[in-house]
Amino acid sequence: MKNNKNPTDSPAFIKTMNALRRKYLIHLKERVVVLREFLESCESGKFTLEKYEVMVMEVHKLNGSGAIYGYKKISETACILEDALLEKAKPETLITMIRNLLDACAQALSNKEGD
Amino acid sequence: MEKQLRNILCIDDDEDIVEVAKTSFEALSNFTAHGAIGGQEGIKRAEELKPDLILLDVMMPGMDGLATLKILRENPIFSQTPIIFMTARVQSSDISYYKTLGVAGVIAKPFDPEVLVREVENFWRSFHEKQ
Repeated sequence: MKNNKNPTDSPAFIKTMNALRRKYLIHLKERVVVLREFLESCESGKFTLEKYEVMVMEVHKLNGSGAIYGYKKISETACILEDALLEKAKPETLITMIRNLLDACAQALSNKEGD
Repeated sequence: MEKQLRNILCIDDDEDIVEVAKTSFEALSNFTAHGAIGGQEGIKRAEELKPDLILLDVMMPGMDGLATLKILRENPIFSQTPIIFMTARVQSSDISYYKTLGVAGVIAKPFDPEVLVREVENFWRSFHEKQ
């Protein structure tokens, strides 16, 4: 595989990346559960200061990895939410952003080939 | 003559990043890539492997990239090892600050696998040109 003209187009590289994408999607399902809990706490007014720290880490991961696996919308929506979390935006402001990120995750989970 | 890059250690708290980085280096370059999840495991793996270059995530829970860098630099083995930061928060002020800490470069996340390999090779080259 090494020294191919376009190594990223090689069947072996594509096969490996597809296997990694499947693993990413399994992790994504777990992250969606966490995101839903955050959304619920924002909606119910139970969003605490500690939750900001936990959520920043979760959202930061989605921001950093989404587009690598072909899911640009995940990175884009996570980036917006991460910025808002770092600025300690009010929970009611976060609701729409979390929903947008959840939509992007749902799209990734239904369209496994990426956006 | 420039030292050859043979093995690299990627430290990130996100397994999905570590795996894709390892795969990219193994498929698209001639050097061996290893991974470690988080700063503490990263330091341990670095001591075992003594990599030629370390790719280090900035934002990690517990021991973050800055704390990991500090500990690595305190160890004489890694005082001259090029360390490249990876971050999903690329702001020019942050990049300037990271450079004052002696990092060989900063790579933005999310990255394209091909670009990641090319950037690491470029940082490796310019690091040795400056020596």
